Amino acid sequence: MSLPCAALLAFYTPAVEEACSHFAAGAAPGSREPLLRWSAGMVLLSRLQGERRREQGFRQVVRALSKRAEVDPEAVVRRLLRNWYESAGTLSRARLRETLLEPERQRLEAALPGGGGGPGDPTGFLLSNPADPRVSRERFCRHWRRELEQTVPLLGGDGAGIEDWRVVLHRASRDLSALHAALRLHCLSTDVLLHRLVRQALVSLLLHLRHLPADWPVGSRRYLLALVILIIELLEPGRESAATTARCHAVLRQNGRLLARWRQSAVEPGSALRRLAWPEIHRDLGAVARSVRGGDGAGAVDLAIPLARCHRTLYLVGEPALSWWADGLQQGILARRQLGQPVDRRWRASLRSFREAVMSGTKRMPLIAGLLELLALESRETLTAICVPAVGWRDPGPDPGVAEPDQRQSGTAISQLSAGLDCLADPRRVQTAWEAGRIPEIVQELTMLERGAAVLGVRRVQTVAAVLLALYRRAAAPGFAATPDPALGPVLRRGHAGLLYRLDQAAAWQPVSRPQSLVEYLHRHLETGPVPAQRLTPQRRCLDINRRIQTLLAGEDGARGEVLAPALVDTEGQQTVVRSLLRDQARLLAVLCRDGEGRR
Amino acid sequence: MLMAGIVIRDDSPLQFAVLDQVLRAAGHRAYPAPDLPAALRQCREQSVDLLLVELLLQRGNGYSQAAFLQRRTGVPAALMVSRQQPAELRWAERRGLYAVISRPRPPALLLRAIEQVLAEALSTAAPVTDRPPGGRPE
Repeated sequence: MSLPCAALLAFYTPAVEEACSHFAAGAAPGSREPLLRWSAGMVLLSRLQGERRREQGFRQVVRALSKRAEVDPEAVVRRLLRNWYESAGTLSRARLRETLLEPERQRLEAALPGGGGGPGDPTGFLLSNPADPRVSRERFCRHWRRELEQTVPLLGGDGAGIEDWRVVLHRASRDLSALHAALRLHCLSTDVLLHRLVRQALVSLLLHLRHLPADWPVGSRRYLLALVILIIELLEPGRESAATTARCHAVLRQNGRLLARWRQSAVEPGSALRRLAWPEIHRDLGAVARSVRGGDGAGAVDLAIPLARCHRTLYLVGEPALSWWADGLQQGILARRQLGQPVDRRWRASLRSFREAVMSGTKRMPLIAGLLELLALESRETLTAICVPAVGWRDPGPDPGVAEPDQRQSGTAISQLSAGLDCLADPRRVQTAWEAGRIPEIVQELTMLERGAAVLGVRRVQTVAAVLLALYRRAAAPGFAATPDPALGPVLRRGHAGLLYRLDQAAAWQPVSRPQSLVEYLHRHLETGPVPAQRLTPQRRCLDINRRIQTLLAGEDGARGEVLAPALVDTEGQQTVVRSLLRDQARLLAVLCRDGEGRR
Repeated sequence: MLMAGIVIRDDSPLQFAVLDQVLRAAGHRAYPAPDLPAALRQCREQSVDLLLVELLLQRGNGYSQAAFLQRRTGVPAALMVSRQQPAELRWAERRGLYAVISRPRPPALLLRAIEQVLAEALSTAAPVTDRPPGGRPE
């Protein structure tokens, strides 16, 4: 603004206000309060219909006043008009919001249900039945436009910002490429009304996607629908805290970008690869997004595999998509780290496994690897798990750092253990060694594996190894025959197969299966001592079971007769065996009671 | 390079499609095996020279299935992994697998790696299960 204009505006503003207050005499007659006068003027202006009438009124006021100031009325009008409009526009919006629209906003906020969606809101139905023709796109879009027009003036912020929001929301309700911007808007603001508008815009987008052109492959359409539904569900308020919502935003934003830019991807449109890629990438991104959200505990366990698969799939699409995805992952990690508590052990383990699985492919990978290293350093147990192999896993001393380990953390560690497993890794070699009577060779490897798995914290592998070890020791006991018992062969084969399967799972970063049924099966055969159990009297068998339960509860290794270190006591395996023994005892007692009654 | 029959044990149709495209372009035949019985059936019914087994499977894991298929069918099995670290190579060696191939990688490099393994598998007369996977050029 030039100086004369500024001076004129400063000179004339009180006069303009005065004029407005005279126009609004009915609203605030004779009021000396400047705010009230200005508000009254703005109320008046808002009630005036059409630019022309407002402009004409203003021109008359300015002409009358500029005659007294002896300046060119037209120039003053031209310059002042622009300035006046700018200032009046800003002020009127602010004042109108305060004086007139605030009660309306409060009413709307109070009317918003906690879980989103009112009685007339078809969102919930749409999310569960996205393709149902009963939901009319036209009707919903009318409803949505009306809501947009009514709610946008109630949003906080300056005039230009609100106009931008209106444009973004309007575009996001029809155009996939504006999805990212709408999600960004959702992230930037904490306004519940704006969040509701974003959600409604995405529902509208969902309805538009339902009517995609026929040249879109069916798989693509399904993928888009599913991903938009996922995003809407994750944006739903009232389920988690604001912190949790912030956590999933990072990943969602990147998903939105991927979704919007997919059409420009390197994969040829309409090709089989692209058609197949939709459901896969949707499933994997969904798993990652849910896991970042933190509500799905089971999803967190299997995160490493979706991440690796997602990386492999996006590798086909090309670098921008891969980097966006990595960016989303990186932001997810950072968000979790900032929140502190939600970065739980399983998440860290999953991400570490993923980092080990994928060390190349995107430019962002070194940064992600660095972040994950940081997370690993923050975790004492992870540090311990990393250091133990370097120190030497043969050390049988108790290690409090792995008191409650994750069964999938030690995939690499199990692979490192494999250096000593010449025989156990090949079932045929075990068979040959057993038939040739080379039991000490197998026992030695099993001992190494049991101790190593205990130190590394892979308890399920340790449990199976310990029971197998006990079976071999019992087979080599003095009361047994010098040659291997042929009846024990199938039992050991099954035991070794189970052990090998669990070792494979650990080496492939998968969660190790629970060994309960296998341990029970092996223990049943372990019970048969030098005299087969079938030949013992029920009383004798009950006493035998009692002795074994006592031994287990004392934390002793029955075969060796030594007390185990607390960290090496396998509570999971112990519980399984004790439960199995108690069941056997109950069965025997029932037989004894029946026999006693029969005798009486 | 001779035309070879290759069974791909991967439960991801997308990954099969990728490998299929790469192998077909080089004149090989690729047979899908979305599960273990399908892999066994393909090995029985088709002329198969190599098994490619993905490590990260939704049901089961690559080590067990590759070892089982190799033992049962006598066809050399190569494990497809996302990285090639000493730990993977060592465990695959202990399990008697023929080779380890890492991915993702550009199609040309992937094809070259598969063809190298294939050439060794076709030229060797020794029992494949006794051959260690480590040390092969990737």
